[in-house]
Amino acid sequence: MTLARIVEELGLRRLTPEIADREAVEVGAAHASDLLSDVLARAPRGGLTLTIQAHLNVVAVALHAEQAGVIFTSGMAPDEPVRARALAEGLPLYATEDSTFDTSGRLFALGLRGRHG
Amino acid sequence: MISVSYPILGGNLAEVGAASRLLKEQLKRLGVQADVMRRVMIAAYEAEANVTIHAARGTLFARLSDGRIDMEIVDQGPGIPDVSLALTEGWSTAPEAARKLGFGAGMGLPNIRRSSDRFSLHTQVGKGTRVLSTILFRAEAASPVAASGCAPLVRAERCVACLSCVHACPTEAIRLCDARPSVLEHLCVGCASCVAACRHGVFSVVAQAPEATLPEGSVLVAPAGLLGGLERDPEEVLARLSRAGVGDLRVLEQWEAGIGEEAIRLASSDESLWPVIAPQCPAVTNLILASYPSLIPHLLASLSPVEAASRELATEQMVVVVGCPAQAALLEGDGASGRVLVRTPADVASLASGRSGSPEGAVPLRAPAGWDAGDAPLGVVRADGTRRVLKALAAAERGLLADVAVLDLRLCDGGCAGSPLYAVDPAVTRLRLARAGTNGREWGAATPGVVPRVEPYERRRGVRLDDDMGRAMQKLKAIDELGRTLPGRDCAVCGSPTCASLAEDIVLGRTTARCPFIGTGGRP
Repeated sequence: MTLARIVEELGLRRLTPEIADREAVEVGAAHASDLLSDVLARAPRGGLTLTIQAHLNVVAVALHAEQAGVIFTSGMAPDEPVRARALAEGLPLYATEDSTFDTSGRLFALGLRGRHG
Repeated sequence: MISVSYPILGGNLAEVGAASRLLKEQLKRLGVQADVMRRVMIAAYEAEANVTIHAARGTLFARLSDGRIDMEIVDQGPGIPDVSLALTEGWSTAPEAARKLGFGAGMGLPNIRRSSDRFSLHTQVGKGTRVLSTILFRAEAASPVAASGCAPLVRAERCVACLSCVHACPTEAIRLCDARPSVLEHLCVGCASCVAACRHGVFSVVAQAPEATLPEGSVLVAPAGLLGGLERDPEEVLARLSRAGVGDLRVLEQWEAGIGEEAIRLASSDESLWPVIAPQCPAVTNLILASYPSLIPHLLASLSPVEAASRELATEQMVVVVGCPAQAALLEGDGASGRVLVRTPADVASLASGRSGSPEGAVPLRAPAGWDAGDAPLGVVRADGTRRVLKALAAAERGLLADVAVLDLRLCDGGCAGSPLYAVDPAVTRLRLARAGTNGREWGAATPGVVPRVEPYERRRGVRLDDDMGRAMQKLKAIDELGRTLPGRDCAVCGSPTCASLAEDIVLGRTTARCPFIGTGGRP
């Protein structure tokens, strides 16, 4: 399923609409964690990361882990410097009022899993 | 080879990873593959995060050379009081401010270790920490062979196809194809047999070009035999080294003595481990890991002398004189920051020559008392040279040496000073050192440092004939059948050391050579 479709289905708020062209990619995996080392080590490449941590380190780690995008849950949202960095690096950011749990469930229902294949 | 370094500013928790990001950009420009890149980034980022969280400042050094990336992340932070605890998953000493930002999972060091092919950690409370990570990668992803990283440097253009090296290699690792010798990395143990056998300089230990001077105040680590191997008068050697920048000289035998004592201690406490094998010679250790894995439990779990030296002198600028590719390979990961320079005896000889005049402020020479005891302590059986080492290992494997407390095995006859890289026989250097005497010099009492291994010994992954069991069995059958058609002379004219290895090389597609004697009844 494309990232664009996922964003529509979940009603995610686009924080970086300027790079919406990135949403053409196929995304089949996601990882939910607020611990940076865990994301770094385990988030499947090309997947989405769900977190309530809304600071710059998350963007850095998501880039290292080659994520397709980051979803900030539970109403958390990063500030402008973080958004700007993500834009500059081409990493789409999204926000939702829903909890990590609910968002994970929805993604799972759409067919995403914790690892590829 | 490309070396880079980036400063890390501690305390800036809001934006961790600036140095890693710069490294990543460099590596992208060089076209490093994605999966390797990911491992490098995990290691670099986690190490950088540790520095940022715990230390005031540090540096990320990275060195990219053929088939490997060596990284060294060093800081002047508080040091780590309990290393094994720090390496435990889930254990974290991150302060609250860091935890609030998602750090402190306690996965940092374990993640670095898992991403690395080689990992080590040096730390001193109150002084700082040094994390070393090496990631090996192959240009062709198709290769199933695990890189051992200890093969010698090959200058194929010098080869005259005399086959001496092919016969000399104790693990049959060398192949010759169109007068181009190549070393099968999964078989190579990094001994200096090929270096000794080749009269045309094809094989050498990887070493940088010799300079006229060394960094001021360097600590030179070498076998004591180096002193008697360069000039007739060891005092003269010391004086010249001094002028070349060396500030201190430590003999390798110091660490060998420590390992020897520890091996004896282990043997005394547990007779079921007899013979305990002292890891004095890295090439022997590699040989055991590759070809005698049943002896792994007998190997004392401590670092080899050169590794122990590098660990003990972790804050010093070091120059290590190596006798074989195996030793050079062990130190290569320590060299990313330039702190550890690896040299051959010939390099040091050119340093020490061409400077005459009276010795001023000569280098102190430190060695443990009784380092040159001559005979090995009771219960320690010392065997030097390829033939005796292979015989000893085979006998140990068959259980014939259960009455031997400790085995001290060296592939070079006479130990490191007997390496083919030295121009002078070790017995001669011994004589010269004995003649020079102590001259009031303080020889004694430096504590031998035995450094226990953090990583357990791992059996080297042999090359499987095929990942698929069925195909592997077919290949085995083909090798067997082909082998029976060959003369069995093991003459190596085809470029493979034995008829059996030629059969394997043909079936696995390693060679297009064929036996020139088939159909001639095995006669030329």
